[in-house]
Amino acid sequence: MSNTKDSKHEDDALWQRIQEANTPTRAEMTRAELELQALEPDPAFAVDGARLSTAAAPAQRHSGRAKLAALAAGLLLLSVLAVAMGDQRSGRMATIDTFDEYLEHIKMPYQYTTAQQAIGPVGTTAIRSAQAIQTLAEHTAPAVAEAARRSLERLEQHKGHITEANHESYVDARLLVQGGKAEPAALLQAITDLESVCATATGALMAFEAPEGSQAAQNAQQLLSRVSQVTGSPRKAAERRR
Amino acid sequence: MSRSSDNLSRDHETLRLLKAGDAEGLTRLLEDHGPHIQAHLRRKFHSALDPWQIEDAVSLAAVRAWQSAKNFNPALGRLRAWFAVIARNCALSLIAKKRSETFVPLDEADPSAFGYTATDELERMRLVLDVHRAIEQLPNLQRLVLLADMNAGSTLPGPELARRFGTTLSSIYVARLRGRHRLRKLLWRMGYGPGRRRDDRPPLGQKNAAQ
Repeated sequence: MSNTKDSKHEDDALWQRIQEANTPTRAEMTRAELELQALEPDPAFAVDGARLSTAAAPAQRHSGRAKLAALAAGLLLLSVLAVAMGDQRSGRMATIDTFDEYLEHIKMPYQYTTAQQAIGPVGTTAIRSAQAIQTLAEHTAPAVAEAARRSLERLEQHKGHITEANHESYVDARLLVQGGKAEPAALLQAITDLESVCATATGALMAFEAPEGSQAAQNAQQLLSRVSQVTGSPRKAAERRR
Repeated sequence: MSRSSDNLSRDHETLRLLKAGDAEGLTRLLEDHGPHIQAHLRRKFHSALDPWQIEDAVSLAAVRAWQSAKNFNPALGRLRAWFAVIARNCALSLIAKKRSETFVPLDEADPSAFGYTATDELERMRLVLDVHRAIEQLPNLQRLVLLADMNAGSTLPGPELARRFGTTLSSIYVARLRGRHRLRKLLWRMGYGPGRRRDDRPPLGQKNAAQ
């Protein structure tokens, strides 16, 4: 590819094309409308909508706020952990608004560690996860092992401040956000990214090429099931409600 | 007043609220159209995304609609159709992200597999999908800036992004500049650009040797 001074114009022209492709056209909207007319609404979404309407009731709202606060506490704990992990960029993270940014900045294998902390920022689940991470980390890189050790220490220090907020609050927060009852963009993005990072973590583990039958492979398998177990929880909780 | 004109009138108000940044607009958008959009995505993408990822796509689309409501042109169609196309693009971005993070069976991310047949639309979807694949390969700040611009449907002000990402204005400009350039290189390898043909693109799901 040529690398001339026209390069920027070409970059911008392509970007313009990308933005156009990303913008709905009349033809696409017409086709989508025709397809929508032939569809029945998804009843599962309607159930969420019903929950949203109840969230406006005072008692429910109080509960939702409490759970949101608990979720925020979990996310703030992450900021402490992030500092402990020695990532300078993540050290800036102190609010939910920048949580998604933090997730964007971290890289493997920190993503794995963080994902575990993110999906289980409460009580013993997180601690057990951190212990498991530490075990795995010992088989990967000293720097990761050290980060995991520090994270574990921090978790131990903070467990007294962690409430019983759990995956249900995750689901509730999500529902509240969908209803526009809480800072929509920032919180929803944070919640979405949690799942995204979990998926990343799973991928990392699958990519982890431990020799079959080795202790490292067993640890990886254990962690995989743990990721699956934890990431599955909020979904199961939502399912139960339906 | 007919039901249709009622709906249009309600959409009009929803759009006004969205443009005003009123959270009630988001609520109305989701309550009025979420169920249909989710059904639409489930029908199209059930083979590539699980039900929860489809819900994520709807959620992402809501955020994107919230951020880019000013770009909606009622002359092109109804609000829910606009929302549906945005949601489709969000589903594609999730598929691209999923592919980069986990093991997704080959060919699962081919838009033609989702029942899209109109050539122009298919090409646009391929481009969207490939753009998201390429963006996933960019360094963090470049990726963040380009995604923010894409979500907003415009080039966001540098100071706003600098504040959002906790960096300097010049870093944002450099990231955008380099990100676009690198994106073009990556897409060129995928078969886009002058002198490139669709045949030059590697089969879907297969890594390009040039990368």
